[in-house]
Parts: sequence; C-alpha cells; structure tokens
Amino acid sequence: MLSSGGLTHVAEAERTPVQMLESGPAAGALAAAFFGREDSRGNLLAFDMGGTTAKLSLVDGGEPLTAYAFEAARQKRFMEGSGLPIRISTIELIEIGAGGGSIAAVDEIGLLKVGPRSAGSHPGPASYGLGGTEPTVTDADFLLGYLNPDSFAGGEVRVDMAAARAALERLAGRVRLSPTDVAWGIHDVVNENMASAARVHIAERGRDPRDYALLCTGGAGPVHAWGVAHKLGLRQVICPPAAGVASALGLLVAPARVDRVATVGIRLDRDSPVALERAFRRLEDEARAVMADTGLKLESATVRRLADGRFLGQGFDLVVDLPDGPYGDGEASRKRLTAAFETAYREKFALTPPDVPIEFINIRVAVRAPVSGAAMGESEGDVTLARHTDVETGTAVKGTRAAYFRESHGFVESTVYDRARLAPGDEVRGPAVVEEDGSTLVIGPGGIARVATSGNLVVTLP
Amino acid sequence: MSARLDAVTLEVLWTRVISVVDEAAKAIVRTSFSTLSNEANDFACVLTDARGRALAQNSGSIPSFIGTLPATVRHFIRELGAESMKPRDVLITNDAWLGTGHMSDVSVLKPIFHRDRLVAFSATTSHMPDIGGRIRAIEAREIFEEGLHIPLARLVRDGRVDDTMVALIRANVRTPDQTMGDIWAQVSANELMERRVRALMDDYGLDNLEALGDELFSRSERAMREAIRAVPDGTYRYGFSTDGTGMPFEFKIALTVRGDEIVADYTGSSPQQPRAINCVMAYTFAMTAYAVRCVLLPGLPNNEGMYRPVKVEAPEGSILNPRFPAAVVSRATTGHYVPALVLGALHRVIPDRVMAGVGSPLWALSQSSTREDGKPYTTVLFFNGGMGATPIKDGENVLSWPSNISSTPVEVAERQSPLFFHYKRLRPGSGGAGRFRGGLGQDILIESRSPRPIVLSVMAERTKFPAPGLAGGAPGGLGDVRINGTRIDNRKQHVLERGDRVLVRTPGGGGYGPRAKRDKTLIARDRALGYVSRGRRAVKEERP
Repeated sequence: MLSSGGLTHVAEAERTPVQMLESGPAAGALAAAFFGREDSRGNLLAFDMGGTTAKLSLVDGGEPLTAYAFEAARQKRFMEGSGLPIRISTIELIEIGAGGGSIAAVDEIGLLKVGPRSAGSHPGPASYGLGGTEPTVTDADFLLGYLNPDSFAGGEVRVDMAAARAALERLAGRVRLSPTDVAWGIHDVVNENMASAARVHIAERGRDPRDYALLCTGGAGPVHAWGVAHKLGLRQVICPPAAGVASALGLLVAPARVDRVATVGIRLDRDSPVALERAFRRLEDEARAVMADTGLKLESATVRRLADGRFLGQGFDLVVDLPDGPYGDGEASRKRLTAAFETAYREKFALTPPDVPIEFINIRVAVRAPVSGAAMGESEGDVTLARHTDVETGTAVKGTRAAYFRESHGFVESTVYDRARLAPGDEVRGPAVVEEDGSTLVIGPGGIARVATSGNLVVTLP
Repeated sequence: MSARLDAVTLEVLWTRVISVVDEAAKAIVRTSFSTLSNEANDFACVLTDARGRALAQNSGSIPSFIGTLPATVRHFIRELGAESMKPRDVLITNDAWLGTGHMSDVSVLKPIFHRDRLVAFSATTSHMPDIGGRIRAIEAREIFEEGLHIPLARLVRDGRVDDTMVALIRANVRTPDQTMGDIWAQVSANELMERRVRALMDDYGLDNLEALGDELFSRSERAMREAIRAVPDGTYRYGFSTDGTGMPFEFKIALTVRGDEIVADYTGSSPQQPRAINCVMAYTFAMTAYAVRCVLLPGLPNNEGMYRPVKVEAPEGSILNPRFPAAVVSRATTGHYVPALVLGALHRVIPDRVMAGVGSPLWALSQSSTREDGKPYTTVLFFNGGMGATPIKDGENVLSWPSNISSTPVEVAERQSPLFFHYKRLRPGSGGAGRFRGGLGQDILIESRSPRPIVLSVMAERTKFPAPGLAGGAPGGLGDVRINGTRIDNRKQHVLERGDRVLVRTPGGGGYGPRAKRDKTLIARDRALGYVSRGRRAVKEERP
C-alpha cells in the first residue's frame, strides 16, 4: 500500500520506500470512501478519532483527495511547519491531537483546553482505573452518558466511574463550573478543535463543508460525530459497521496505482501544447511499464493527467486535472488546457486574475488499475461485511439511560440500542445511543438514523 | 456580562475566531502574487471588535504586526468616524506612522456589519512587491523618496471601486498587476473573514463581539501581570553599538519592572537619522511586546489584553521614535535590535530565561532591472543569520528572529530573477563559542546572468559589531557582503553587470556561558558536522 492509496509491487516499493510512509492513514481514507459510497453522493468528510489523535480527510466524488506533499513527525502540537516536509503523493489528511485519551486542563488564562497531551493507554483515562488521575475526553463521555460503563470495549475494561468523576470534579473546581458542565465542556471543546481544523482544511480546498456527509470511524469517532457535524453545519453522519476497526478494510479495496511527476516549466501563451504532450507521453510510458511489472492488464488501467500550474508570478501551484490527450499544436488544445486550469482556479479562489499567462511547473500522471481476483470477489461492491446481514433476533432496544444534550439543556432519557440486532430498514430516533463492541454512536434529539442495506447507520441531523 | 462566557464557551468561541483569521491567511498565501506574502509570510490577518481591539491574529503572522493592525483600525475609526462606514466599504492605507512603520505594507480593512450594526473589522496587511520610490535605498533622507503614500482612504465606497485610487496606485508602482493583484487578494480575505464572523455570531446568537473581547482581554491581562509580578522589581540597563551609517548607532534600554508593569525606555539611543532606517513607535512597540511575551508568556495567542501592562517610551526624534517625514523603509535594520535590548536587560534579573544575541536583523537583497520584454521588475530575496544560544541549548542555524521571515529558496529566486546561485551553505565557525554555541550563519554566492544591469540594494547588519554572547559566551561571527571579492559599502546601491558575483555572508549567533564548560560530546558533534572551522582561512569565493 502506497501513501497515495494505491497498491504496488515489491520492486517498486523497494525502489522508493518513502512512498509507503503514510499507508496506514491512506487505508483508512480508502475504507471511508468505500463505506460511504452507497449512502452519500460520494462527498465525504472522513473522520477517524482514536485514543490520541483524530484524522480528517476529504473524499470528493467517491475518491479521497491526493496531496503532493506533507509533513511527517510534527514536533510542535501538530502545528504546520514543525514537521519534516516530504514531497510524495499521499492521501490528503490532517491530524489533530484530539482523541479519547486527550487530557483536559486549564491554561494560563483560565480557559479549558483539551489535548494535545494524551494519557495514552497507560495510565489511560481516569475511568480505566489504571492510575490515571487527569480528566480525559473518555472520562467526560462516560459522565455524559454517551458510553456504557458496564460494557465498555465489549466489557473488557472495568470502568471506574468514581475515579472519572473525581478527576472531573477537581477540574470543575478550578474553573468554577459543575462537573457536568465541565464534562460537556471537554466534549464541546474537543469537537470545536476538530471542527475548526476541518474548516481551515476545507477552505484551503475551496470547498463548502455543507456539501459533505461525515463518515465516522475509530473508537471515539461515532461518539463525537454528532457534535462535530453540528458545528460544521453538516446534515448527514454515516457510521459504518465495526466502525472501531474499519481502516483495515481499505487495504482490500485499494486499486493498483503508479504516480509519476516531472518538472516542465511550460507557459501556455508561449510554448506549444505538443511539448506538453511529449512530456506526458514519457511519464505515461514509464508508469505503464511499472504497472505491467505488477502483472496487471494495461487495458483496464485509467490514466489521469494533472499539472501544477500557476498564473505567472504567483508563488504557489495549484494541482489541476487536465483534459485527456493528445494535445495538438492548434488553438483548440491551448484553449482546452487554459479552460481546465481557470475552472479549477476559480473553483478554489472564486476569481481569476485578468490577462496573466498560465505556467505549468510540474506535470503528473496517475495510472490506476483495479486489482481483480481472490482478495476482492468479482467487484468491489461485494465486500459488504457478511456478518452484518445475519441479524441476531430479538429486539434491538437494550433499555434507556440518561445522556446529556446541550440542545435539551441537560440529561434526557435516551434509548440504548444493540447494533448487532438492528436490521436494514430499521429506524432509530434520537436521543439515542447505539452500542457495538468497538464503539458507540451518539444520536442527539431530533436526529433520525436508518440502517441502510450496506449495513451503514445513516443519521440525518435536524 | 453574561454567564455564558465561562471557561468553556470562551475557549470554543476563541478557537473559532482564530480559525477565521487562519482561514483568511490561507487564502492570502494561496492567491497573492508577491513572494513576500506567499513565501516569506510577510503579512497578517486580524479580526477586531467594533472598537478596533484585536480578538485574534493569524497563527503564522510575523511579530512586526503585533498591535499595528488594530491601531490602524482605531486610526480609521477616529479619522473617518464609525458612523460614516458602510457595509460594503473597503478601507486602505500604507501610512508608515498609522500603519506598520513603512509604506511597503498596505493595510486593507473592512467594516463588518451584522443586523445593520457595525460589529467588527477584518484587517489585513501585506508587504507589496513594489510601492514605487527608490528601491529600498538606505540613502533616502525623507519618506517622500520611498514611494507612494496612501493616506487613510476608501478603496471601495459602499460596493463601488474607486477607479481613481486604483489608477493612482497602478501608475506609481513598478509592478501594477502584482501590486493590485495582492491588494485584491487582501480584499477577498477580508470578505472571507466577514462571512465567517457573521456565521459565528448567528450560530451563538451574539449581537456584538465586545463581551467576548472584554473577557478575553481581562483574562490575558491578568496572566501577563502575574508573570511580570514574578520578576523582581528594579531598573535593568543594557545597550550596544551597531553598524550605523558612517558612525555607529547607539542603542540603549532601561527596563523597569515595577509590580505588575514593565516599562521599556529607550532614552539614550541615537537620534533620528537622515537615512531610511528609522523605526516608528508602532514598530518599536511591537518588537518590545514580542520580546516580553517570548520570555514571560510564550504560550498564549496574541491579543490586545496581554500587552496592556507593557509600556514603551522613546524620545520623539530618536531612531526608535522618529518624526515625520523621516525615511523608514528599512526599519527592520534598527527595529530588530529592540528584542535583543529587552532580552539583554532581562538577563540581568532572570538570566536563565533569555537567549544570547542573534545574527539578525533580517538581511535582504533588493534588485530592480528590466526583463527581456522591456518590462521593469523588482524582487527581494531574504537571508538570515544564526540564532543565539540559550541557557539550555545551542542556537538554531540560519533562522529568522525576531521576524519569522523565511529565507527565499534558491529555486524560487532563480525563477524570479536572472540570478545563478553557485552555493548556499552553512558557514563553519560563525556560531559564537560558549557552553552552548550560537547558531551558524550562511554563505551564499550569487552571479548575475542578466544581460542588463541590475540595481542592487543590500540590507545587512552586524558587519562591524557582532551578535553579543551572554554569561561568558563569545560573540557570533561578523557578516560580510562582497562583489567580485571586494568588500562593499552595504549602505549604498550597487550595479551588477552580467557575470558579477555577490558573496553574502550572514552573521552567526552569540554563545551562552563559558566555552570551557561545553560538553565534550557537543564538541565532538560540532567537529563531525563541520560546524567549527579548523584554523583561520582567508575569505575567498570557492567554486562548488
């Protein structure tokens, strides 16, 4: 698995191992794209929240966005600029120091901060009873009634609610709020941290958050999806089955992929499109050769042409999709290329400067081919998780418990569901919590969730 | 005030306000034409309340802009009157005294209305690729030589662009498309902030931002006062000489800590000069405030409240508080010494918390010439020296401080101007020795490949007086600029012919603590990395 979300063969991986650096998160984004495909218009904000970090990535039209550079090992609180810049094709994602283990504390001006410091799994949140004394996001989620202390992590963790409450009370004393308000505060602040990061990220892409459905995975993702979606103004949350461990599936659904890039420095007003065509041909031949070595049929391969372009004099490039070749010497080709760049530029920045020539600094090709055969079944769509079609019999309602919702100004009795017993077509009305082994989906008042045939729970926000 | 602004609500709102200015900053980086904005970070986005008090400044912003944009907003409120402002107005100025200290920075403001009431201002400032006048000529004697002066004015009057203003700006600069392009990039960033702030106010049902500001500022002010109170009372003096023009300049500070207030008094510093190196009060304040916060309250995001306990005094007519019409364009040349003064003074009372002298001020090479097609162009390349050592570690090599202005990458510089870079490399031995070593400076050898002459202005400092060490550490290595091997007077413009070669050698940072106490493994590491020079070598240009 490459960082770009494609598979490759061993020789290529050996030649440039750096291309695999971000393969784990890439698998997660692919899984999200796969799960969300049937129940959205393909526009997803993939939101994965685990114990120490949250990851967010955009999926447009069913495909995770690709970035052409990223920073590894950020030193300073996940801040941009504090990591090692690496120029490879990678699934675009942002990482925030926000997870179930993130510690809440009061800063020098008395504000409640959550993360990026994390209790990790040892000592872990106070509620794990392993010696942790600082209040974490998970502790707050217990106190708010979102998580079930009796069956946390499938009952494997004995939850110490007294320790969680004590940790939250200490913090509450420092900010002069009730323990409940502090618990809600921790939940809300960590949601805002994630939503703010998502806003800046989405803006950088020139997109509107309201066009996206939030696809939540990871242990804490489904617990926080309701709040994050609310803050971003999203209308839909999608929670795939076994959301706690969904990333691994991405490895099974990935296509084979080869990326190549070359610096050309071609100006559209001055240079011939034929030069561009020649440069693309060279890259494509190289990429196809690697693809052939992977043992795939080249007939099934698709080729995307892209370019890093700018208006002459600008200091940044925008990577845009170009029309298919071949490009001829005539005005027609030049016009098509200009239009492709200007359209993409306008989409992102709303305006284009008048009368400035366009320059393509780099060109890129992405050759992809579906991996057929054993791992996958005949088509990608067949990889629905089989066990979820065998619904256990009996009612899915396990009972009720009090859960806190800001919309209701306090705790309200919420229906507790067992996800394993929900069948396609079933409807769940909020306030509710849907429990399964790896995670818990929280649905606020006014929310309606439907179990789709894909097995996804699709929540519509009011 | 409402009970709603508790520790949680305030945190959530503030996070959101910061994301608004950061979003606008992304927009500027992505759309501006000048490398000063998109490569060197030389811009700022600020959101203020209706009274012009800053709620947030973008995260990557440079310290020179601390407090300057909100002050500009307040000048507009005072001069034009809040009641005269319309929802679709866009305001503009580059006045050095009411703005950021030189006319190269154009500030663009937008009043933000919500439910028909003025509730906020979005404000951006950005260093223009060109603003006319002589190219960063240090010889300028008055500000009139430094380019186009845009007084407090409207660029857009309630939705209608002032064509005369646009024509005037275009006619007065060498790069009309780029300069106006950058101004329009600012306008769209301002509008983005406007949309976001209005959405935020809707989401939280706020009808003003004053309550948020009041709470934020008073908490930040309290935190700063507490931090100051922890420093023992007294007056702490420090000073040094710098390269100057002909004669050295003197810089002096008397830093008084009294209870929970700090007063930085620069009396005794050189008088205002008939050269373009005067540093207006707004800039002197920004640099003082920055140094104080670095030492006392580094973690808190910038806002109005934290600087209330910090006072700055400098006699009018002095180099750190010049009178109109002093020439000011290269104010960083003097202003960047201000944080070094503050740290030096604080070293007398809290020695374990300050850094030794830095190989700053920022260095820059400005060039102007004409391209093949006959069109004039100008570009500015930035270079940096080494940082000072601290009581716990060596100084970083080649890093910008106190301004986080990135060095221009070779690839960008070569694309933008007809220059060829032979090399750009760390300079062994330039870091001041000490228990902890100062950061290294850099050697850069550049050759002109232009068929036409290039007019070159250099902004260089610490070529005569090195960055001082602290607590027994040695000073950093001196900087140096040569053309074809001959040391030049870096206060004058020079003309480069094709094939002429400029050697730029930026200064190193000062060391901290006596060299005798340096750890053996650090000494071995310096040798292995080639950070120390073996014996004296004559300066000579080397082919790579």
